[in-house]
Amino acid sequence: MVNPKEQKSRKIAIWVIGLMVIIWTVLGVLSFVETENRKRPHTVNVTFSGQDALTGKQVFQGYNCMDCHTIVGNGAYFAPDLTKIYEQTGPAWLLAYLGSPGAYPTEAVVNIQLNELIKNGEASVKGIGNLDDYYSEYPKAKERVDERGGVDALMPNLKFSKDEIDGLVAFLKYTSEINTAGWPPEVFAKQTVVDEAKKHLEAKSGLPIKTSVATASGDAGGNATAPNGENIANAMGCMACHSTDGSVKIGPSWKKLYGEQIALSDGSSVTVDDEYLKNSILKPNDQIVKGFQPGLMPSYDGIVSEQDMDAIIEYIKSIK
Amino acid sequence: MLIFFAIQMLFGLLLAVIHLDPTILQGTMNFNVARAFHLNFAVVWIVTGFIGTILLIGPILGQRDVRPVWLVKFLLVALWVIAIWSFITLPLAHKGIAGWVGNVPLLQQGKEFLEGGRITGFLLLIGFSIFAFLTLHMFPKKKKEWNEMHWGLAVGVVGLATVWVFALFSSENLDLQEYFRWYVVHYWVEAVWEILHITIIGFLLYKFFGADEGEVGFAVFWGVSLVILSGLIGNSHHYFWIGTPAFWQFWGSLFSALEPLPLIFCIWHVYLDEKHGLKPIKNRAAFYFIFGSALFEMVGAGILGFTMTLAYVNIWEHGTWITASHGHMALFGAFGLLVIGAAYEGIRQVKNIERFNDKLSKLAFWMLFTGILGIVASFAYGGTNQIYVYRILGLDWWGHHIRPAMSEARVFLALFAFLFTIGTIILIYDLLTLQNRKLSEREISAMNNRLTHPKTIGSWSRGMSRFEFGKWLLALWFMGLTITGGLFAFGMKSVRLGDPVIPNILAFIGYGGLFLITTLFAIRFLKAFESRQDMLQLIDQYEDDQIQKIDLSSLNEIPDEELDKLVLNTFNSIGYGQSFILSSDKDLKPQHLMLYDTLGPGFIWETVEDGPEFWKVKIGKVN
Repeated sequence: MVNPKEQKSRKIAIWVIGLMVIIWTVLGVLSFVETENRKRPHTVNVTFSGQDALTGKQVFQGYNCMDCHTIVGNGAYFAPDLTKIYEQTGPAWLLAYLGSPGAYPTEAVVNIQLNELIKNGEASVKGIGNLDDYYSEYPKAKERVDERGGVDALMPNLKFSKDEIDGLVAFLKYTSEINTAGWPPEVFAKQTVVDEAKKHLEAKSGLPIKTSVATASGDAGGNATAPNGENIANAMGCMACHSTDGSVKIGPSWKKLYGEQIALSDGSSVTVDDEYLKNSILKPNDQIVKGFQPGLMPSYDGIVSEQDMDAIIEYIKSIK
Repeated sequence: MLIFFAIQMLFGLLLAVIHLDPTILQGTMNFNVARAFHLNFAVVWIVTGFIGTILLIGPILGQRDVRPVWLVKFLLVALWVIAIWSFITLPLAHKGIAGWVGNVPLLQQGKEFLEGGRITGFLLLIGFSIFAFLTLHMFPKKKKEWNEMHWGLAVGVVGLATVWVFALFSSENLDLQEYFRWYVVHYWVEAVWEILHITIIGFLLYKFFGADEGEVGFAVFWGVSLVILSGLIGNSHHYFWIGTPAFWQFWGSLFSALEPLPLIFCIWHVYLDEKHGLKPIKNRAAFYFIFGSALFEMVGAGILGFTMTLAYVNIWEHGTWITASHGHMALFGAFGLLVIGAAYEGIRQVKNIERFNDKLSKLAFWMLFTGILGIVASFAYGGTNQIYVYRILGLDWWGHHIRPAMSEARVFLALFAFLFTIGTIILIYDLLTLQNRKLSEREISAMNNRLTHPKTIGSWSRGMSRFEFGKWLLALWFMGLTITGGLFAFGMKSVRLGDPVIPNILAFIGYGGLFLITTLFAIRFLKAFESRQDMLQLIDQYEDDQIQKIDLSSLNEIPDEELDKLVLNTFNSIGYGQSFILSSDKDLKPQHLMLYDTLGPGFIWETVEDGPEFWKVKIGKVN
């Protein structure tokens, strides 16, 4: 059927393929052998806040993050690559963001998360004493807080638990340690070109840009008024989790909340009054509303003053 | 198959819509879950198509029926079970539920292309094993009786199941996990699926055009070998930046750059075999899809793949829409169009339709052709902008910076996705109701009687010489190299400082030129094909006693040049689609060579009698 010369060529081709299989196998094994000079990070060895990166990897897969984001550049191109995000924005910003992915965190929330980590002696923030130290270590966190703090994000408000969030941060810490051989390439575009492009693109997007969010103590008099309360609530990042239209972002909506009788996770029920609201702000895990997760809302104890809380409560009362 | 295609296509349309407004259906059907459906059902419908095609051609190739029949039905039911199970499990990602048992995700696992969990994985492994068994069961017991096509299909179906085993693998670490995930994705689409593609096309062309079995066998062997020789180590073009060592940049770039070779080889053979046909084929529509498949395989998988495969070009496009541009043309173009073409032939045979009115089929073809080309162009356009904003300027605020840079591309994407959707609807309708367009004997005769014998034919209906074919391919590859240059130019210092002019110009010329030339080439090739088929139809319908006869027997005193002149003059006197009989008591090989030297390939030479006493051929004038 086939002439001898052709037979011989075919035999040679098959032998060459065989040789390639050997080369392939050797190179494949070499890819994962670790030496003095070449180490790979391991998920089980990277921890954060009591969770390891393996748990985080399972969360990452469970929520199918790869079909919106890319990781090591693979996945869908619908959201940013996450490989080095930990290296860029640090754990406090990530914790603040993942708590309510539908909005970018304000400075107050990043600060609260950072303080929590420092208080708990978390190894990942060793050597960082305050927010300024943190921003020096993670300049992209500052960039985000300045540019995007309080602005809506396009990511859905996935209902992570506290453990899932800690796991994800551990996983992203692990991916930051992966040697990606120089990808993505270093950026050294001229700042003027970048600024010009930013202006043009933001205008083109037609999306709201950050308007200055009032500082923590509201207006000069610190009056307990609803408008003042709204400012404070925005600055504190409350609106990232609590909606005013009845929808559930992460926490209960504030619409028609004051005066309501609500069910708590322990089976009891309570009327939403000043005392309940203040307790929720200072000790949020005391009384969790039924159907919501504990451990997600940070405590604002030491961050908000009594007047601030009065103003916030006035605001909540006004949302019908 | 068609239902799965419809599901996959509708999810694709939904994705294009969500791209326009990411808040649409947020919380109910998030982009990532919709995408999981889009990817998984793409695999499911194409694999269903492979199964159908191979169960169709297997019995012809193996001369044995498919059996046992109950197992085939079981396989079909299994595919539905997997489909329904996917509808239940994939949306669990909304709640982060994977069904972990240790490190094994039972329900869904959020890995791109392999979103289904371990249970889905096992169901599929069982399905593929059954399919491999059914296929091998149709072949002759003795391997010695196998030709290259048997081997090609055997390697393909066994490979399908074997490679799938790697999908059942989980690792604690991302680099190792990605390493093996690409075993499945790459060794499927860039190896096993290509092996099946080559063999199926080889078989279909052999059946349609009566190509010589030995020649087809040669093409199948070398096509398959080139796929493995380039693609085995070429898999490592997925290992550049994922945490594996940098030596892969060398191996991956070198070998994957060779991967287009079998794809060029394939379309070259489509060209050769189509010219080989001496009789008109009954299913022109099927050939449209088969040709489209070979063309898009070379352009989408080969050229677009090449433009992103070298490490220092890849470093720019990795993680952008440029990948999606290649992926859509490669997957739908090479494999989708192939199984559609096979379906046209399969359904025609199963429903006993001699010939059908193929206007709707061809309309569907051109809509899908334009649709997918537009989708691919939109991804390329958006991707080029994305590289500039994301990688050069370093901006990463998706909503405010990256998305606005891609708005126009997104609008085009949605428009072409919509066009593609309409094409799909027409296609599905056509295939499901093909019997309604069956042509009766009378209609076929009327159609054939309307054909004419022009003395001249339009320049785009002329037969395509090898030289012209080569020129088209060179033009396409030139555009491909332009695109490569454009992407590579992102690495230039002036560009990295912020000036995108060079990559933008090269990308515009390259992509624009590539898509334009692909379209023109398809029109040209298919027009010549139609013209040739018309001519063959005309030649075929005349009985021998209705045409001229020239007999050279016993004309020994007349010099050869005079005899040659006689033959040539007779040939020149007839119109396209006409023929005459040439006979002699001596071998007519010299006349055959003389005609080829003088006329090129524009004639058919059909041997009626081949000696040893008397030779008789039918010579026909084709384009």
